[in-house]
Amino acid sequence: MFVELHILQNFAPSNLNRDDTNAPKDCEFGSYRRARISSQCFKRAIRTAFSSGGLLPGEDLAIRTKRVVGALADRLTAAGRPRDEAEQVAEAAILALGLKLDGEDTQYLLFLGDRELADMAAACLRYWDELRAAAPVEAAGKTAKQTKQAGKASVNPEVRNALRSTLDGGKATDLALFGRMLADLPAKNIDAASQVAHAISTNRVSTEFDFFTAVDDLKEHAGDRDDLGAGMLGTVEFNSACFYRYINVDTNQLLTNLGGDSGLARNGIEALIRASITAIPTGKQNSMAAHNLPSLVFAVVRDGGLENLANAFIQPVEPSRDGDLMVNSIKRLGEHFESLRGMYGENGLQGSWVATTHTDLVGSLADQPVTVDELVRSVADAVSTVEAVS
Amino acid sequence: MSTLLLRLSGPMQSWGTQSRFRDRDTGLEPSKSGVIGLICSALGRSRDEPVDDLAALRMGVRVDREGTMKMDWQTAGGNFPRWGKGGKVIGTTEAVISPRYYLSDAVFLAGLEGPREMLLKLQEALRRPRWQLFLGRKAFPPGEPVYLPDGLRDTSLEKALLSYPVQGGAAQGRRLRVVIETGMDESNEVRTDVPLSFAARRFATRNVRTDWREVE
Repeated sequence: MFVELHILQNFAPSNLNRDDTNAPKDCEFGSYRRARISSQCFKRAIRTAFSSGGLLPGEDLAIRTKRVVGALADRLTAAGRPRDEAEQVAEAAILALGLKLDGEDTQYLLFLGDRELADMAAACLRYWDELRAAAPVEAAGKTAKQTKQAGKASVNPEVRNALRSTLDGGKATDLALFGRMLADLPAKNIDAASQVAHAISTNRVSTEFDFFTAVDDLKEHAGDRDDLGAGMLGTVEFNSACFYRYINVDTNQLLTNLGGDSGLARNGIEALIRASITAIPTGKQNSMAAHNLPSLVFAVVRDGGLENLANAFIQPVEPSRDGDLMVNSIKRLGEHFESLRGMYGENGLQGSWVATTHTDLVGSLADQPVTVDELVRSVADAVSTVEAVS
Repeated sequence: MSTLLLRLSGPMQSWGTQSRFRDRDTGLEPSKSGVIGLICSALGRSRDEPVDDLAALRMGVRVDREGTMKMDWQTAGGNFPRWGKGGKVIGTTEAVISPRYYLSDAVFLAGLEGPREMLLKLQEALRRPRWQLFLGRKAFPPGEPVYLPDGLRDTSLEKALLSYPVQGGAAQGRRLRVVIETGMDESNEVRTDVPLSFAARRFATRNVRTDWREVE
C-alpha cells in the first residue's frame, strides 16, 4: 500500500536552500527555470521536526554523526564507568565493527538509531574487559593512529558478532523512512520506505538580488567627512516561489523496516504527514522569516500505480484575473489529477483527502475538504485496516 | 522478437555510470543498468537476486528531449558545533560536499527487445510497480507514468523506437538522437552499464551506436 502526499506551498521571498554560489537552488522544467528545494534539504527539516515538534519520542529516532565514539562513551560514563576507560572501550567497539576512525571521528557520517546505540552500549558493558584489552595501543611497527585507520581491533568473534547484531535498525522511524548506507557494513544498509521528490516551483522564477550595506556605527559618529561609505557591501540572492512537493511511503517496506511493529508504523506515517506539513528548511530564515505553511495538502492512498503530479505545471502557472498564483496552481493540480484518471483509470486508488485554505477549489480531488488532523487520522486508518486484513 | 517501450520523463533524472565516491555523474541518456534497476523495482526483485534474464534484453534509447545538465550541490553534516574535552565548543564541523549531476527537463523513450511472454510480465509490473520507481535516483520520481498502455510492440527494437509518437510535447518530424545496443561491427561506442550483479556492483560492457534518425 502506498501513501502519496501532494503539497502546494507558497513562500515569501526567501533563500531556504542554496547551491555552491549561494543562489537559491533551481532547475529547468517544461523549458522554464524553476525554484527548487532539494529532497535532502526537506528530509532533514522533516527529521528535525520529528524531535523538535515532539512528533516522535527520542528512542524512536536516530542521529547522524561522525562522533560515534563520543556518543557511545557518553552512555558508558552515564552507566558509571570512568571516562578514560569508556573512551577506550568505545574506540575498540567501533573498530571491532570494522569501521575506521579518523582521530576521534568515524571517516563518514553514520546514521544510528537511539536503540542501536543503547544496545551497543549494553554490549560494551557486557564485554568490557575484552574490549579494553583490544583498545588500539602502540604496537610493534604501528602507532595507535595507524591501527585506528586500519580499522582493526583484535576481539574474538563472539564480541564482534554481539556488536554487529546491535545494528538492526533499532526500530528507528527516521531510519525506516529515509534509509541509510554504511559503506563498510553493506549488510546493515536500510532501504528507505519513503520517496521525497525535490520540491519544484509551479511558477517560473528569476533570481532577485538584495543589495545590502552594513553601516559602521562608529564611523558615522566620528564625523569623518572624507569617507561616508558603508562598512561593507554585498548582495544576497533570493526568490519567492509556489512549490509543488511530492512525498510517498511504501507502507509494507515501512513495516518491514520497523520489524513488523504496526504501532510504530502507524505513528511513523502520522508523524511523516505532520512533519511534511510543518517542517521548513532554515536557510537564511533569520533575515527572511519565510514561515509559510502549505495552502493545500492532498493525500492519496493507493495499492499501486504511483502518480507524481508535477506535470500539472509543465507550463508555468501565472497569476491571472481569475486567480492568484496559488488559486491557479490548485486548479491545475485538480485538472491534471482528473485527466490522469480519465486516461489511466482508478489505478489502485483507495481513498483521497484534501486539507486546504481554498475549500471552494477542492473539486475533483476529494468529496469535501477536511482539517489536517482529520486527514492524518483518515490516512493512518486507511492504511492500518489493510495491514490488519493482510 | 518484441519490444517493450518505456517513457522516462520527469523534471530531474540521473543515469550515472562512472561515478566514484562523492562526485556523482550522469550520462546524457538512460543507462542499461539504470533501466534494468527500474524494472527490478517494478518487479520487486531485490538487488541480491540475479538479473541475467533482464541484462540479456537488447536496449535502445530515443532522446525526445535532451534536457539540460545541471548540478545539485549537496552537503551533509556541516556547521554543527565541535565539542572538545571539558564540554567547550572548539569550532564547527566541516560539511561533506557532494556535487551530483543530473539532467533537467529531459524526456526519453527506452526500448527493451526480447521474447514476448517475458516483456508482457515486465509491462504488467510497470503498470503496478511493487516498489517506487525513480529515474536514476530515488529523489527523482517520474513526472509521467513510465508505463505506456500501447508500449508492447511486436516489432524489432529499431522499428519500435522510430515509429512511436514523440513524447514530451516536442514537435513531430524532427531528427532525434538514438543510442542502440548493437554488435561490435556496427557500433561506435562502448558503455560499461550491463549489470552483472547489483549487490556486488559489477558491470560489463556493451557496444552501442549513436545515430540521428527521423521518426516516422
